Amino acid sequence: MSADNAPERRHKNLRLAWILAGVALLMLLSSIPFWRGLLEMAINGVQ
Amino acid sequence: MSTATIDLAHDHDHEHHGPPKGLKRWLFSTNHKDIGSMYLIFALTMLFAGGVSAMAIRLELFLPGLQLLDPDLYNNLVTNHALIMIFGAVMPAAAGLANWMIPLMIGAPDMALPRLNNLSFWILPAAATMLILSFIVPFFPGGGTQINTGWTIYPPLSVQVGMSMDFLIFALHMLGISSVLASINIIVTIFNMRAPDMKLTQMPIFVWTWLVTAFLLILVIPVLAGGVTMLLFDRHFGTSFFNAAGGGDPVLFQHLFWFFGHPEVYILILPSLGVLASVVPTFSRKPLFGYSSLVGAMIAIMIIGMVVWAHHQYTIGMSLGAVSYFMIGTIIISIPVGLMIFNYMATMWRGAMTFETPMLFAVGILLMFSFGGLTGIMLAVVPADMQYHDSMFVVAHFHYVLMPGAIFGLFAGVFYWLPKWTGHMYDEKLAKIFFWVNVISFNVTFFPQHFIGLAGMPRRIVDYHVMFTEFNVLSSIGAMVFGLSHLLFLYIIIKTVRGGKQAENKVWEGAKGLEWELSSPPPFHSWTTPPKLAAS
Repeated sequence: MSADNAPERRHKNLRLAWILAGVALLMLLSSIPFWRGLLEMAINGVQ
Repeated sequence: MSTATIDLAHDHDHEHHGPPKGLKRWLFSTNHKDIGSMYLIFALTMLFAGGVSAMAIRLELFLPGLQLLDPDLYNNLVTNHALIMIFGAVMPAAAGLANWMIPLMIGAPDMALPRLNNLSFWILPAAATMLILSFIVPFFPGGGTQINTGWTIYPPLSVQVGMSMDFLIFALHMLGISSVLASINIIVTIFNMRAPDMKLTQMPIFVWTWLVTAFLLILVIPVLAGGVTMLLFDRHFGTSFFNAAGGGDPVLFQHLFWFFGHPEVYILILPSLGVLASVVPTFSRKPLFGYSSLVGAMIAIMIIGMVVWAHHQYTIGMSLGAVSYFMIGTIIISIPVGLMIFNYMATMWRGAMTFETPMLFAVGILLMFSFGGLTGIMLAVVPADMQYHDSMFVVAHFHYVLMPGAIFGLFAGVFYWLPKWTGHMYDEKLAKIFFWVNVISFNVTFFPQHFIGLAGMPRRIVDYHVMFTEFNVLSSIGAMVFGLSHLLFLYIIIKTVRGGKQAENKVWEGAKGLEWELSSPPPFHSWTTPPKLAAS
């Protein structure tokens, strides 16, 4: 046995893993829209 | 903490099937011990790769003038030394310790997500290949220019570098994915896989340090990923995130980089400081002085460490309010860090101390890491930093923080747990020789760099004024001894793996914790039945 395979435990582990992955994704995305103004400037030029 | 007596009546020694045979065992491994071993072997390999580049740098700086390297190659080596050491050696080594020890310490049969564990590891060799390729592709026809940016890969220079930068960006993405996946696994393991009656407040401090580190990784690695993705877009897709001519701002990248880069320092040192929480009480034969204050300090470090990043960028021209905030915040963080150090010192106080190799490293860490912390306070002060910035003083400072704070802690952990992992005692005499040679040569290498830095020698420059010659000669001699001393470490490890005096289950007289209840080496599948903790 390499891990506790009880379905309930497995479900609980996966649910927490997905929540944490969501936090990581949020950090990734928040670092980009935060600077969206700069992207707009980059594309449209400084108004 | 969980150093209570253990109900040994429980069966935790199932050997109903052993490890798979051959290459399959390693390629498809879902066993935390095997994956931990692979992390550690990988990290050791990269330690030597990063060490070779460091020795080449110090050979070049042995004398003023150009000796062996042209300036581009020198800058390339400075970059690859840092990236290989940080992402290839220290982080995987800490992950190796986590893989090996966290399940054993919390009474879990394995990591919560074993297949994800396999994936986290096997991304690393691919990423390391890309990382190393980024340094050598310029030597092939059409390979473009060498990476000359340093590990901070600041634009606009990083936008102008050839295709090697694309290899590096891809490598950073892969390394980041590996770290985030490993962190998710560690957090889930700690939250969901502890022995049924082990509360969070009963976990060993090493497990706590990894919990904090894993959260830090999840919060900051994606920001680095965002930054280097924008860099990639600037390089190839016509955006101007960091291009002032297009309305962007190169300083923006510095903010994104250091939002990751400063917490990264704590990511590197916290697991090692967690090792001390096991080593110091064991060899002082006393309980840890303050469990809850250590946990509180770590959480404070995590929170404050995430909001002081711009002290790496004082010279960019921030407002007075901004630099004041970052200066005060940076100085404040010395309080929880100091709390951790004083906690370990108070644990030693009036203890029945013995100085086996892990304890020698622990004492060395407390002395030298504290010294690095003091020069850190010097650098935190804005007007002083204006003078020290980008000098060899900074190089000396961060090596005093990261070598003792991260790598010596890993050495302490390896020597502390090696008999548990292998079932053999290491050669204590050789290990002590390694400690002394390593520590003395480390100081010979980096202590003089404080003075040449204060005297005005800039860092990341291939040549220097003749007035700095004597201390550079000394530093380079120290570096050669320091680098070569690691061959002795490798020899000790190989010797211990191959044989030696049989280690007992509880290797160290004063050791406490679940891991010491298992055999040495532990069975391939450990804690198949969760241990029961007696009331503490």
